[in-house]
Amino acid sequence: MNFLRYTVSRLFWSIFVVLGVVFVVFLVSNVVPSDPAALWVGPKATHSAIQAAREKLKLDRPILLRFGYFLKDLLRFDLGTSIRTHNPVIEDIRKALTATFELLLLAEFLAVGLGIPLGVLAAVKRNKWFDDLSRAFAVAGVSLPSFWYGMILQLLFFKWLGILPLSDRIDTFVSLIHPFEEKTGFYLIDTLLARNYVAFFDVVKHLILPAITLAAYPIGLIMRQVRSMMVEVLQENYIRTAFAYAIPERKIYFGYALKNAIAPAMVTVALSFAYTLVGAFLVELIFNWPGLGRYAANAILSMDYPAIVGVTIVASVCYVLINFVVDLIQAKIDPRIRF
Amino acid sequence: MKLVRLALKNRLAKFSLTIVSIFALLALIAPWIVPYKEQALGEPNMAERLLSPSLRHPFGTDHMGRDILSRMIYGARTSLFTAVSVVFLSALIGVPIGIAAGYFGGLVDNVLMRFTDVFLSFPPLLLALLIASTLGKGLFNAILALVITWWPWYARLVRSQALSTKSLAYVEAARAAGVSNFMIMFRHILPSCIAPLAVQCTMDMGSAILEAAALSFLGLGVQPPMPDWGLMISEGKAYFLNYWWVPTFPGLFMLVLVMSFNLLGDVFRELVDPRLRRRMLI
Amino acid sequence: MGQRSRNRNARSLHGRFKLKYPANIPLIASAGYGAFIFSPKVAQIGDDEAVAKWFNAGNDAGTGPYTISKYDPKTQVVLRKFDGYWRGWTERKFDIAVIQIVPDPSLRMQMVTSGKIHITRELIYDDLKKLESNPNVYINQKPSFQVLYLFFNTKKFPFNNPDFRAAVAYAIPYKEIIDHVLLGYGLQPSGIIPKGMFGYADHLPLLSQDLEKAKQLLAKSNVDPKNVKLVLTYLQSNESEKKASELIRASLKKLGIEVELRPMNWEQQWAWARSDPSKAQDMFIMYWWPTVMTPYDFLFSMFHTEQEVLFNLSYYYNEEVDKLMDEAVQLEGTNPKRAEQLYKMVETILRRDLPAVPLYQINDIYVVHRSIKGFTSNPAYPNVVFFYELESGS
Repeated sequence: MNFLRYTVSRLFWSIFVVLGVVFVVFLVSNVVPSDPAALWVGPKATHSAIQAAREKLKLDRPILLRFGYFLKDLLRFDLGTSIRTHNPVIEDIRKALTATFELLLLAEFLAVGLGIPLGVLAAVKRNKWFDDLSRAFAVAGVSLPSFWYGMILQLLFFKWLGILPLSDRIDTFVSLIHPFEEKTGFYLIDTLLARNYVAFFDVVKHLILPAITLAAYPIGLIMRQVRSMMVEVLQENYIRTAFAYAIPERKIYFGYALKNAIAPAMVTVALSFAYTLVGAFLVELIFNWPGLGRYAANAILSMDYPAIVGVTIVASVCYVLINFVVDLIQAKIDPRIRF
Repeated sequence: MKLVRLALKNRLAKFSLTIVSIFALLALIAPWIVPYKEQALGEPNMAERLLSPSLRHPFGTDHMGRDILSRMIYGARTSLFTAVSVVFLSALIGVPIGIAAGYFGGLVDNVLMRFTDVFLSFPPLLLALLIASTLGKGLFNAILALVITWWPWYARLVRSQALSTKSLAYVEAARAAGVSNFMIMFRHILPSCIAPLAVQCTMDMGSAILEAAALSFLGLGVQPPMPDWGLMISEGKAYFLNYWWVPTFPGLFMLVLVMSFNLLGDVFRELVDPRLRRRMLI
Repeated sequence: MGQRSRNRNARSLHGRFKLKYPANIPLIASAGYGAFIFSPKVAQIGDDEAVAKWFNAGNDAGTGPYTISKYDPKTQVVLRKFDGYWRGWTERKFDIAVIQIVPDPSLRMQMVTSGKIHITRELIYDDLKKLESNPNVYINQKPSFQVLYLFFNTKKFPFNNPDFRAAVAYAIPYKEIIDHVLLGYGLQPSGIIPKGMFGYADHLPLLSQDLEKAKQLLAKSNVDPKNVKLVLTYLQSNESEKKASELIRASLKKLGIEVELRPMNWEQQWAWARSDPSKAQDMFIMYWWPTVMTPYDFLFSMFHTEQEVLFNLSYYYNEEVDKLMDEAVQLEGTNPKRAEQLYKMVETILRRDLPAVPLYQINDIYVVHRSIKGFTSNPAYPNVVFFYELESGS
């Protein structure tokens, strides 16, 4: 009963926060010294074109009125039209979102798949050198400037070894000669659904480098967290008793210790998802990935305020959602949190 | 302090501290030790563009013919200055707010925390990007943008510390004795926050450098021709496929410095957390 | 303004246009922007705006060799061959043409050398130099009419002072820019009108860097460099503008003048310049390329008096110059010699007043993969590839 009340209150709170975010963003992007009309019309403009654009974009109305229009549209899921691409923002975002999510999920998958075992290993090995090394590795992960790291990988695998592509999601030729229908927006799934193995293989090749780049940070985070949790758990009495009873090591580590260490680690995984969402920005720029990050960066750099507002809303909603879930998980597992 | 002495016993900590000190030293004495000072500050040297690493230019030259090593050393100045400013200013704003919120509780706490929550709900870099691009380019605006995004974290951190400290016996006693609220916050609450703050600040130095570099990379922070690691990597991006050294070395420097800060912060954290301290001292 | 008459022979179309003044029609009709001929059925869609919207949605209505198969303006446009094209098709011509946006110049270079793409432009000049010896590609280079200008804000201190303008003009390292930024892939024009166009200011000497003269002029202007902090804006995404700006800054530093460089995107840069001239940037770098191949396109857009600021970004309002150029354009069709004289007079005045200086005129450069034959470029249409003329080389 208490938990339900907690959930509901957190939910209301999250909505309130998102509204606050929206207002701040709207305000910020409308205070700018830029000219959305000029952006809309493009280079080689004429006076009449700019004036027409100004009227069309309702730029001559007072700001509160514009915010009013904006909220009204928001309720209908209309995020306006991007001044740069002339498409509905919600369309742009929908297309970009699946691209980003595919990358994000793959990176998280890598991070969890590598981070957890490595963290366990680091906690378990008595060898001081190995501990130091793995710790350095984890710290390197969170210290890497992702835009630099991506470039280095490109240098290595594209320029010098020539085995992986430089950027984009798929090779133009492959997409023209072996086209497939974009049903879900997740190319890995869509190509398999179409039984288009040439395209599938190409998509995988294009995913590798960006995913590795993006995974560096969460691997570091997760590895550290798992390691420190495991270390803590391994010092518990019941573990030492298990050892005393000569229960096989592997069973102890993965059966008992990991189970208890995993819950806080899950929190970290969820949080790392949020951080990685932001990391995707820079990685997408390096790899020319047609995702939300690149869209947002372009929007911000050209002061395309409907797009900026749209992206921030979507990103913040995701972020708040993740934090909301994390809060709930933490509340469930940590009895110290009072409702 | 006790913390530092303990830290110095640890091998990893000693190593990281040495590296950080070297960078700090380089940053301080840069104008005197740098081989090509004018170039470091932006003077172009077109005849020697894009030379690969050699004895004369250990890390090569960039697209304007400037010595990369010199610019990297100067870049340490910009990075450290930025990081220190961001962390210091964020703490300056966040700590009083957090202490006030934690100590007074009730309505004050609610209002302040709701306020910080809005800021905390933005994906971190996104807000900084937004603010920086609104304020305009330049180092000062970038620092401002970062400070606006960071102070809530300090407020939060300090608030939870204040919450637990304020119910301690000696604080209750002080209040009963009639000591003013301000004195209590300053004399009793604040010192208890120092340890976790120290840990957070050290780790944040690394993150601040990374985020500032991200802003520069996107063209929002330091402007050309100032030497700055993020800017050097960004400018080098157009050339790196044929002239690999241009962005590689600045990034390497940045990686080493950020890693050192993070390792140091890691060690501090384990020392501060009593549960992990046992394992540390083995 | 125009009447149309249809000839019996369906293969040709004759038009008759009634004009307000004797304009150079062939020139205007072949303009890069805005002189399109299409089927009257399209005109029935609605008014001008509706028609424009219809076209901008990716529809086509012409008689050319390709039709639009896929239209995604920010990423990719796919053209497919139109079987009924009146000039016919051969085996070696291409069925499909893909125009793809690849924002990264080094990526474009990689793609063209490996054959992933066949034609590209605007590579970084250093990379271009390397490609000259690469057997996989050939470089197609022609002089273009695209010029980069540096505008001075004549409505704001210190550029409202003509001697100060002249001092700065003589401090700029023109040759260094051509040699080290353009790497020789361009030239310095002597005036506003590009070389190769009639009316070119060949009667004027090239502006060159002369620091002594610059210092003298600075002294004469009575402007104390220590009181001056200039802001120069240029296009963030353009490598050449960036390097040229840094060289300009370094040169002005030798005169003791401090310049702050502000890379911006086009909209912000332009919005600032169009706001209040007394608060706008001091120096503005901008490319100009003509819509119609006439000097008037350059002079009118950038130096004619304007009621509202559009592209006259030095805010230079001179009635004498206005009169001369307006007279010249009217004579282009009937008395080209006189028109040329008038244009040259305008150039002389502009050189005297120096509201802006031309920095460089770039060459129109395409990099083409060796598997493509038949490629030629036409500088009058700077961003157009005539796909129909291309043939597969292997």
